[in-house]
Amino acid sequence: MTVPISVTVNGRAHELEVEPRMLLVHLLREELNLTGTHVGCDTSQCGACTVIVDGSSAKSCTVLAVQADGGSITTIEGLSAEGEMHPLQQAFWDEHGLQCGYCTPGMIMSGVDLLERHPDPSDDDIRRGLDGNLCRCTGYEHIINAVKSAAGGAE
Amino acid sequence: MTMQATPGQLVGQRVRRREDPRLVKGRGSYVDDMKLPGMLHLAFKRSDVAHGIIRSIDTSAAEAMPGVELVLTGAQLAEIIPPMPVATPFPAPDHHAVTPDRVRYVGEPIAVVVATDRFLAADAADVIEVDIEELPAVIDPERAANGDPAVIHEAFENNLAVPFAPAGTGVNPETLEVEDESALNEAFENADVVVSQRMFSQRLVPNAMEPRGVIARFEPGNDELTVWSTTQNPHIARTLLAAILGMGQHQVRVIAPDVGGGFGSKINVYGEDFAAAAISRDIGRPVKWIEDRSEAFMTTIHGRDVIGYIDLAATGEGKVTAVKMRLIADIGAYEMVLTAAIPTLVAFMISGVYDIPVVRAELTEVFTNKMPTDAYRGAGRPEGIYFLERAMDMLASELGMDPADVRRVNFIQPDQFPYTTAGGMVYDSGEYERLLDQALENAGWEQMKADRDAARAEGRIVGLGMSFYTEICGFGPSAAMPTVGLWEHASVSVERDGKVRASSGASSHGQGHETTFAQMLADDLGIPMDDISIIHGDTGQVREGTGTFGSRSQVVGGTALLMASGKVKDKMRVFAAQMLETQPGDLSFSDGMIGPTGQEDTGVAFAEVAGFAYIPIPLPPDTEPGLSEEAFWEPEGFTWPFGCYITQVEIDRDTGELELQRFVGVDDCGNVINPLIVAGQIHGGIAQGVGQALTEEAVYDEGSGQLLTASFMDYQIPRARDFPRFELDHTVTPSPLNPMGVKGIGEAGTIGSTPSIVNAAVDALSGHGVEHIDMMLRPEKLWRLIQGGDA
Amino acid sequence: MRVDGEHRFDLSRSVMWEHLLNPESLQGAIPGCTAFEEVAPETWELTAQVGVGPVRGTFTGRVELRDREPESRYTLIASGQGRPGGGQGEAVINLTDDGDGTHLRYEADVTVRGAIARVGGRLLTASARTMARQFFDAIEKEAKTATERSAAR
Repeated sequence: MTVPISVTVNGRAHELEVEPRMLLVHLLREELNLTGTHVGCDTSQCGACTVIVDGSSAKSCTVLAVQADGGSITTIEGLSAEGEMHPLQQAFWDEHGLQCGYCTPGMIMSGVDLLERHPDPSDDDIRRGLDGNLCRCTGYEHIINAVKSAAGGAE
Repeated sequence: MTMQATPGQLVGQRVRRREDPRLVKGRGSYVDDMKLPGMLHLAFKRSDVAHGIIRSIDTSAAEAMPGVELVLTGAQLAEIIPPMPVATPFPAPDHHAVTPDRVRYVGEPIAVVVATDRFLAADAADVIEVDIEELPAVIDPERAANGDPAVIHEAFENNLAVPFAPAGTGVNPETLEVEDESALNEAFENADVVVSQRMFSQRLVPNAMEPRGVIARFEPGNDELTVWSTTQNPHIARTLLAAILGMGQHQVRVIAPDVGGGFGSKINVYGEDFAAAAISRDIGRPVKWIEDRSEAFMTTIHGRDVIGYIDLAATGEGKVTAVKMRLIADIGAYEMVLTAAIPTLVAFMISGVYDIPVVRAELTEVFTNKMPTDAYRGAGRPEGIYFLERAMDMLASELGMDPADVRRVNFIQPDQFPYTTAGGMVYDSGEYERLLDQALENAGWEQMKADRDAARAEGRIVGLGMSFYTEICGFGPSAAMPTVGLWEHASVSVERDGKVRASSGASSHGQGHETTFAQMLADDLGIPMDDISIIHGDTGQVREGTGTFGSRSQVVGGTALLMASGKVKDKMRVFAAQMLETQPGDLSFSDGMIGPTGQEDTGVAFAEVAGFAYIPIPLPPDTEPGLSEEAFWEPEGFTWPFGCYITQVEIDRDTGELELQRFVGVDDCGNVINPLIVAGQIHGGIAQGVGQALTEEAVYDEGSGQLLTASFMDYQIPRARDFPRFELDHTVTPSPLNPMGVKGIGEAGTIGSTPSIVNAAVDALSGHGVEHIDMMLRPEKLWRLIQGGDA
Repeated sequence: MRVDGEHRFDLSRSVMWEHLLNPESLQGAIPGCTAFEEVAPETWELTAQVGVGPVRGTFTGRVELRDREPESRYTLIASGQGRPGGGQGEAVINLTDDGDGTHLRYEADVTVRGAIARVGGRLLTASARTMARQFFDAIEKEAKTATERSAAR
């Protein structure tokens, strides 16, 4: 049994037939080949699958594809759609905010949401704002530098 | 051939990583991102009991499900492939990719389903019915060592994988037998002070953010197997896959695309990898398996799990006269590739940075019904340094000495290098006191102590901790692991347009090899970094290799690259000399030019020489056309970086919650190629060490053998808010063992941070009569200590 | 894993004893129970929908009563298996007078396996207590209804 849904992903409209149990993250990865959104756990802790759904960050492993029906989604690929890096992507590069890169797309999407809410965040704002995203490589210090630097650059 | 790296424009600079643009844009390519035409998916039926005998397996319901192509039990798979290999010299029990008869840990594969999509495969695995006659779960290693409550492998009496492996003073290094106890006994009899403590370096789950995965594609037409794997070492994976499948190494290609962290857990080739390869060959179609996080907790190797009974003898002035460590390693249910070798590294660390005349380590390795342990970041060295550095603090406390002073009076002095420890390790270089002074100054140690005392006077529970580590890095030489070989391979090809393709057998999974190696080669060849591509992670493109582990890539892989580059330069000099009508020996490389040393700009362009090498008219005598060279390099000994970490913690009296307030570190990894990347490695290492100290512990239920910490809900890897800003600095003591004078930094932070934090917590609770606390320092444990009870 | 707890009933020990061991009351009171069938003396097979934290599923199991000491003590042995895992347990239940009512104390030893153990493990004690309370509340409600019914008759 499948269910028809329509979603807009990175500005492009899609009409799809999905299984009711399909998660949004699998819709993105398996159906739309947007593999920048990663799966790092199965209990919604790690945040590697974070995307923006209708303007707010969401862990795409906690959303069923059918729940996204009618919604607008931005993934990591959509941040640099014009080929230009988003300021936060640029800052992650400049500040060495990543190592293996696996948590990075989710971390950046959470960071984008964080900067929307706190345009000039303190260290503490960033540490709390990224509480739902796990990184095993960086010890977070360079990630915090990257978010701060992007905030400064946006001023 | 040039072996001396010239200090250039890029080495030593904070160069941004070349890997990052694709990764920050979500355009990386990890194993799970790939789809092949006709690809099928695997799911494994896993044991949910810890120990038992399989009475029967009913796969009929799974086989009847639409989309299911094949179901194989362990017994059926065992007809296709033999048990898995190990690379240690110790005897090992048979360990099948999928168990044919008994289960020995929760999560062990029992059967495998092949289906048209991964969800169908998982559904089908769920309905396989397995009847298991349960046996008692063996969980406590000290009970297990007496065969209690059961024996896991019949051939290993009392569950002893390694019954007794001594090392150090009085031990014959050839026979590994204790021949003389007198020096040890005398040291303890004559000691003014003896410190004795049972300590525990608990079991950890590596948790690279990318779980494991494999795609295997056997092409029946030409009998070739290609495997895409989340491996740290594609060449070792190729060798082991070929051996188990009975194929030639030339028929197997292993590709490690972008790999999302490893920390040692992706050194192994696992049962799922062998099963995928064998099944693809059997059915002639590509198959894919991607681990989910629950599986990663249960069935990717664990780390640590070593109990240490530590005895330290010293004079009244704090001079350590002897250290003894009796070690019990709980290695889990089987031996993986390096399992039994890892705890032996604990014994290698017994002297730390101290000039200790008498040492003895005695190691026992025990099977239990848990996931096997193997290399996890630091691998043996964190345990050894933790035990020693806790004991040093206990000694300081016993004598009423400053922890810095008790370390200072025991340091190996700079003029003692190369220094051979009483356990036979040879340290390459070190200048410990200079680094200690730097750390004390950066921390403001005297002020920290005054502030701590003032805080205590207000009733706050504040403590300071210190640790001083050294560690074994740059694994080779091969003699250190005779079953593997610990050299590295590199190639450097200058193409006819002057662009360079270089390859390394050291395969990056987050370390930034594509950047640091290019920096190094750009300086060596005198050309821009953008003209150089670094190829790694593909046995089809990189002829040979060992891999990335044991903080070896820059030391061993970097040197091999420099050697290959040197060979290419020698050849370019011959071509350039002919073009310039001069002698090759006079020529140097700078700014894209090859010319007389100091006047390179008067010479000929690098790219012109490259072009000439491929159309050499006339060809210089005794010279082959083209510019492509390779090199193997094996170090003569380990490198020994070192450092000091000073921490401040405060414990909440009401909740027991520990706050890490300051982290001051000074590291010395010799010369630094890229300070940005070195800082990142230290940060990440510290984070994993803090995780062990404060939040991480893999717990198996004593009665049932169930893994109780099998998700991020119950096993907490550190989050951003768990850290203060790191206050880091470094000194530079080059290694004499390689031309760049580098030492390796991948594991340092993990090794040094753990004892520093536990020392700080014990200091904080010293007023509550606390002399030692086992990790992890969870709030409930600390709260009980504050309340005056036992942890 | 040990789970223990207490419960107070307003009704007398003899009334509660009767309902605690009555198959019809049991079927109505076991949380999520959809099937309940006596397969041997003092032994029932049942199907129930159970959730422990994020782990939910249908379980089939067997319950056996043993060591009955009328109106004061019995042992309940249970085992179950479902797709999220399985488990077994043994509970000793003691009844004593508490004024006009009854004081019940239970001590259980439970082992679980599979996803329930891995993911639901830390919630298991709390979930078991909650289910026990739901069970006892439901039994008491049934007992009260039955008592009122017979009083009205």
